Amino acid sequence: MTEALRMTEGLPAPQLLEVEDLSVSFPALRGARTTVLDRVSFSVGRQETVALVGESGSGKTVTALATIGLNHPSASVDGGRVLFEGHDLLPLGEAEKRAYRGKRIAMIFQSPKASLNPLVKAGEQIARVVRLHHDVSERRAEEMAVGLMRSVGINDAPRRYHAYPHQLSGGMAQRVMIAMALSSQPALLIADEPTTGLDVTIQEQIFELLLELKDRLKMSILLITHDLALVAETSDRVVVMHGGHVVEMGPVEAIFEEPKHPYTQRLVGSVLRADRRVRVQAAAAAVEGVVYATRGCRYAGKCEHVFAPCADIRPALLQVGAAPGHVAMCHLYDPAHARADRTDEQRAVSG
Amino acid sequence: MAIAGQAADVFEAVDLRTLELRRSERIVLAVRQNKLAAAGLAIVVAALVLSLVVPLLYTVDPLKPSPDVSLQAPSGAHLLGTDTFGRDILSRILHATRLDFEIAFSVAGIALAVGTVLGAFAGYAGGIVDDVVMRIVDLMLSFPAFILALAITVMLGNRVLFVIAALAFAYTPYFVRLTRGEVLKLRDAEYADAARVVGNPPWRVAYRHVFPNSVAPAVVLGSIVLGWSILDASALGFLGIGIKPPTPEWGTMVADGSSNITTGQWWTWLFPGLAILLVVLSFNWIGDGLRNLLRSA
Amino acid sequence: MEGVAASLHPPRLRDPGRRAGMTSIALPERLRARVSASMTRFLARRVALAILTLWLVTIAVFVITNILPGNPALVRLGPFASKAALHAEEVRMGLDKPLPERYWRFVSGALHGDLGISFKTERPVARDLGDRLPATVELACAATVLACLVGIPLGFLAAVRRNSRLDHAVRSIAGVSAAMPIFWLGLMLAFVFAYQLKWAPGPVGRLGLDDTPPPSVTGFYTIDSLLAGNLGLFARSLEYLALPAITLAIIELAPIAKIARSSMLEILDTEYVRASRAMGFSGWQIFKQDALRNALIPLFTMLGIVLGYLLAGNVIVETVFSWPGVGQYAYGAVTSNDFNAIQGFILMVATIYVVLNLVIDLLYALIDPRVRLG
Repeated sequence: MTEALRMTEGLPAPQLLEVEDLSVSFPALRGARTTVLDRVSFSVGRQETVALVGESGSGKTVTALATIGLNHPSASVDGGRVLFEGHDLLPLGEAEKRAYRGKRIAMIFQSPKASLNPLVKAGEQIARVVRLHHDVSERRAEEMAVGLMRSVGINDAPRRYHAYPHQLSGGMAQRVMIAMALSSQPALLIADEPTTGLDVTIQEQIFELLLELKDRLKMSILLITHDLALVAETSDRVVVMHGGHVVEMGPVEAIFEEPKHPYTQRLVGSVLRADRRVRVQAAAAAVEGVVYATRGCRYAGKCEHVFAPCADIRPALLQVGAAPGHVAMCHLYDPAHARADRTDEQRAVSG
Repeated sequence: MAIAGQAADVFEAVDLRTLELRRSERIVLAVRQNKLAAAGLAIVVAALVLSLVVPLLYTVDPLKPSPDVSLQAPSGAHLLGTDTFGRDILSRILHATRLDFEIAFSVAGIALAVGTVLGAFAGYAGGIVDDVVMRIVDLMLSFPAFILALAITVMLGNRVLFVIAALAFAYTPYFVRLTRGEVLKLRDAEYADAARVVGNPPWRVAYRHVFPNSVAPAVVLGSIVLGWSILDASALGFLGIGIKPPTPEWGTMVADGSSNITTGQWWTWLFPGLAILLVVLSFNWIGDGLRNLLRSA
Repeated sequence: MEGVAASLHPPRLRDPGRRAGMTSIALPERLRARVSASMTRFLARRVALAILTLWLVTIAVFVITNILPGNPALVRLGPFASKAALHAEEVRMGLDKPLPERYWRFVSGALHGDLGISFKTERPVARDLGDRLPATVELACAATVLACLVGIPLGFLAAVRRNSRLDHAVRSIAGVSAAMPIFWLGLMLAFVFAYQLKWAPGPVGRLGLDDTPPPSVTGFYTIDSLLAGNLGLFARSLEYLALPAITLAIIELAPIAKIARSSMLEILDTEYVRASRAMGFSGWQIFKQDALRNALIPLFTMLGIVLGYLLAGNVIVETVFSWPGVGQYAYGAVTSNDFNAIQGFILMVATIYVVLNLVIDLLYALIDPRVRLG
């Protein structure tokens, strides 16, 4: 049985999106390749908000891009499946992938102003997307675009229609992006750091907008972020990534209240220690250019609880804690590894 | 940048600096990846060596006319044929190599030396000094370099020295602008600030920290200018300005042979032009290679 | 999709009065201004700068032709002239007057279109240049059009297929053409196509020695012969235009293709191209709506530099092909030490360069909404 199936035991099947054992590598020096994603598995259910959390370099963006086939051409998928509504998207050709992109799975990115063509008016860009997904006349598309702008909370939409991207504020631009993304009522919205770089108040507005739209459109959201405070407020489940692996996964309350993996504990700990009102960036300990070539656990180098098996054996993703679907990839929770090796402290940590 | 954003995830993992290669190994790797630059360098060095060595061995006088062997096609005796005056073309090309290289390196050297100093000075000093210098630079750049060099050479007189002076004058603004740009970028960089804070006087900060880092792109530009100056100098020679026959120079040689396009003795103009092409190409390859080298070091 | 808008707001009432195709969204007064206030200031500053530059250009030209060491009268008469003859010549050339006065005469003359008399042709320099300018412009335009038609698509293709064989081929071609001496290329093309293959006429000028030029409307023989309905003459003027234009075009190809390629590469890497891909647009759609316009802008601004190449290349190409343009005139002036003509030529070249760069900058400001609307 794949780990993926094991982990979905706690969740109703079938899921909207199921990523199974996805592995992706990029070219490195001298013809070698570096593994960026190593057997990543998780799922997103219908009308569910799943947060994909990790620091830069953990592979979260690559994962998202892989689902719609938008990685850099030099990236190669070395294994796994991406099941969307039961269909594997990975082997599809470019034209077939386009049937999903923007239509069933939409994606919005960081830096919304940069995601808009600077030479074309904002409203026109929305109208273009509308015409891509719906067979309507130009005029009708314009009207629909204005309607979309209103529905994402842009006041004075007819005037803003004629604005160029550089004339919009960051929050406004992100609303435009959301309008474009939602024009076809996708089942899944992937949001890659959608609020990073925006004002705190705007961030909350954008997020409330997304949640409201999610309810109305019966949409799922895969939220990629390193901002744990936002995750706590908005997500149903959390997937924690580090070094190309999923190190822990589970319902949001479980992750925050009982983080099991040492990495998660550090992340969550840094949020809880700070003032809740301040947006906390996870992983201040920036990962520098380490070539990941270890056989064992990739976190072993930084883990305070490292012990015998960690260097050589890749941990299995196992159920931890009480909540259903709460799994972690750590030897501390693996009964197979000699308990005698562990210190009291480690035992205390794993409970 | 989009790709950079996503690839930053990845390329952090393969940052050259963290791979445990010594600096020398990295340079060798970069050189190996830049075969063209290596080829260019080889050609230039070979040309230089040949031009110095061959006249000692191959003693046919490039200036002496021998009417009886005029306009002979390439053969065993004259590998590249003879020109209208019976002079051996190969030997003339090799002699011309010295002259053209002399011009090229002088022009590039002067323009680089003067231009980088002036640009660094303007960039570092800022204020009105900077404004004045940039005004003059913009003015000079309103004239196409070749036209400027043409006019100056004509006015000064038809001598190689003046060709060099005119071309160097025409190319200096490029170096000024480049260096000034680099200096402006680096002037406020953190490490310069740090050096100042520690107590270094401004000139030392400029000399030891800012200047060395802004010189690198100038060197790359220098190799491009080497090529340009040969193209311009030979064009002037072709037009009979600055360098006149019988001095062997690639441009004048092409001019000598140009009337032969009607009569068919193609070797008289083809080979000198080919020499220009080859040498300029080599300098360009070297320049590209230097740029890649600087990027990875 | 209707659901989204409908569920939150009632549908917008249609305006029956609008023409089909026109945006049905009312454009408020404020946004109708095509140009913002900051843009007008920018335009004014830019024009002022150009005027200043032109003035400095006149000074520079004057310095070059009058202050550099060397006595023009001496050069003109040769080293064996007698002192008296020399002095007379100096007076004739106005060299005895003080510098500021000479400069003033030069500038005021230029502003009135008087660039002095050519020593060689004994006609006003301005008239000589004016007569010959259309030929040069025709050649320059033909070469540029050709270079763009070939270079821009090649550059774009090379960028889209990065690191493919096509990309390497384009880069190699650009590299070689950038290293080629123009005069040599011209000779080679003439040799191969005119004398060996006899596909094109020899380098004798714009038309054959027996042909009469068409009645002058634009000064372009090609256009004028079409306008006069003389197809035979049109064909022949094209034949004579071919080789020199191709020569220039090949040289121009290098910077154009390189810039097209690098600007397209930059565009392909942008966030908005990635976002467009994420919306489901196909490669071709993205090219048409996002890449093309954005990539052409930097290309457009680089035209100024390409122009510089052109003005320089013209002297040589016109000399090689006996093309009766201003470049050939300059060559004649230079070889006969015709100072007024040289002075007039450089002034004209620099002026064209400055004015054209100004026009390009202004047009660019109008095209890019980021500059236009501030």
